[in-house]
Amino acid sequence: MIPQADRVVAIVAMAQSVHAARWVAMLRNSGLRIVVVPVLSAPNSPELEPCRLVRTRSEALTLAPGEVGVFDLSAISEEKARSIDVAKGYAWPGHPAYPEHFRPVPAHSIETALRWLKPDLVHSLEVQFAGYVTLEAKRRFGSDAFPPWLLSNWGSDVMLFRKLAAHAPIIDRVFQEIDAYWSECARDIGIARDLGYGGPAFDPMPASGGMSFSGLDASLPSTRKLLLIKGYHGWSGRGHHILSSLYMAAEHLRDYQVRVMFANDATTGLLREIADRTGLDVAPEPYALQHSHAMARLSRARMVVGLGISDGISTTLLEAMAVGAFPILANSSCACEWIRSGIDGFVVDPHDTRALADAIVTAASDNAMVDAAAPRNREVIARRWNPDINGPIVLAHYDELMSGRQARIRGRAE
Amino acid sequence: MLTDATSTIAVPSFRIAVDGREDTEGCALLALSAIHLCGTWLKSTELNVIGSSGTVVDVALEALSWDTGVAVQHWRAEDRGVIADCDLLLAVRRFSPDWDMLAHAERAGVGTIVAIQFPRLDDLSAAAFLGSVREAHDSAMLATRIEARLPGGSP
Repeated sequence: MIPQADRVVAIVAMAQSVHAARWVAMLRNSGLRIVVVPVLSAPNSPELEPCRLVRTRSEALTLAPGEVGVFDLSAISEEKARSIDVAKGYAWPGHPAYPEHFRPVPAHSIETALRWLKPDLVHSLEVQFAGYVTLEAKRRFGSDAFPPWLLSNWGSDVMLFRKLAAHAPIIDRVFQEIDAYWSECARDIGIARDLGYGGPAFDPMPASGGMSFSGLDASLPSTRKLLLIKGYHGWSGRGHHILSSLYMAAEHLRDYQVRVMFANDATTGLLREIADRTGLDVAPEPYALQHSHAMARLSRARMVVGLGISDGISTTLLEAMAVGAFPILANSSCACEWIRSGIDGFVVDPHDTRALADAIVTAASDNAMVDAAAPRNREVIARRWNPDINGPIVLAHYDELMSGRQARIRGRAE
Repeated sequence: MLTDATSTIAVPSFRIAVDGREDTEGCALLALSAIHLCGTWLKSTELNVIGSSGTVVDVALEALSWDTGVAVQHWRAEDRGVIADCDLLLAVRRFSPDWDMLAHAERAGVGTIVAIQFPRLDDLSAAAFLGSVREAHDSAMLATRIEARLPGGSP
């Protein structure tokens, strides 16, 4: 068996993402040489520390125990890389969350990083940025010359994007080329199979792997007077639908303080209208710069409400479950794989504002329900979103892929 | 004339003009959610979306079309003349209606469902829409009203 210290795993990912950083954190003490290949030009997540810039496999092999490598993109001219992408006919299809002119790191840079790192495994965390660019890198390598490729699916990656004309054919090609698939939701494995993917699909695991919690408020949810709302409203989020539900439910929420996270100017204006017309104590909530502050706030909430037309597990769900806040989410997520609607939380149609209003009223009035849900939900999180449990599972699958035991039927990695 | 949407004979097509603006005053996403809730009634319906606000509304329309099979046509904001070719004008807005859109519908004898969130109470014309406030927030109630207008829809 090859010693872990002689193996390099390239994680193609958004290096600024806390989810990516937490995934890496599960692996940093494994002995494997983990190198993050950034797909966006942005500062690294502080949680990636300790980390060091590397350019080649030999440099990666000198990483200290616990230290993570980050590929040094400055080694490659971005201007030249973009011109090569154009010459090779590669164009990223865009993402509705980003402005039209926005571009991720060029495919040529990712291809070069993988040629220099010579990884034993490529793991793309997320589809639309990391997955698409890895697909192009693999095309340029040639399928037979490319290392085993594992793809992780985050959030809306296939659930929503397979419905978008500009993305559907690329997603089809991704599923023709990956060697293994790791989704957050059992739902997405079904979608992958529908798209013709026949390779290994590992048991679903949260995109962030796991979280450790300590020292958070364990008060009974029925004693809490805070209702937290996710205010995102845009390509997937339906924050303004939640506000309509609050407007309808207002008379039942007089005893509560309703606070809306991620409220932009338009949302703030609507909150003023609702407050003026209903008397509800509703206002925007400042952004919590530190995760510990966000979690402390969440642990004071009786319920948390998020709504969108597509999602994965939703980190909001997991964090709410961890601190006893009663979760209310859309059935366009895979929340139903974690909670029973009407018992541990509510899972509602994201298009039905009345159903959401009814769920909010019930969660605000049924003390026994929210108190009973809290310990059950905490237990589920301790078991299923635990880095000490999930980390070894990840390492075992990595080992299988690097050893060729999970190679696809076409036998490319044998 | 068919009245049963489950019939094996094709239901005549029905064209809905939709105000596609999602901004300070436009609530296109709530209108599209109501349409989403109409589900199987939409099989022979065509949405004519006027003045989509861009990516946010366009993604919602692609998802709606994929989920329900409804056909979607896009029109620029200035192409309001298309309202005359439709069977219904649907708009959810804040504060006040778009009077020009309503005028287009009236001139052509096209039915309207216009629901207003937070109508301006100091504007008598807008305040007349107070009765629509509930359905401007309640997508299920709005869906029921839309269904009632569709061929074979519930009364």
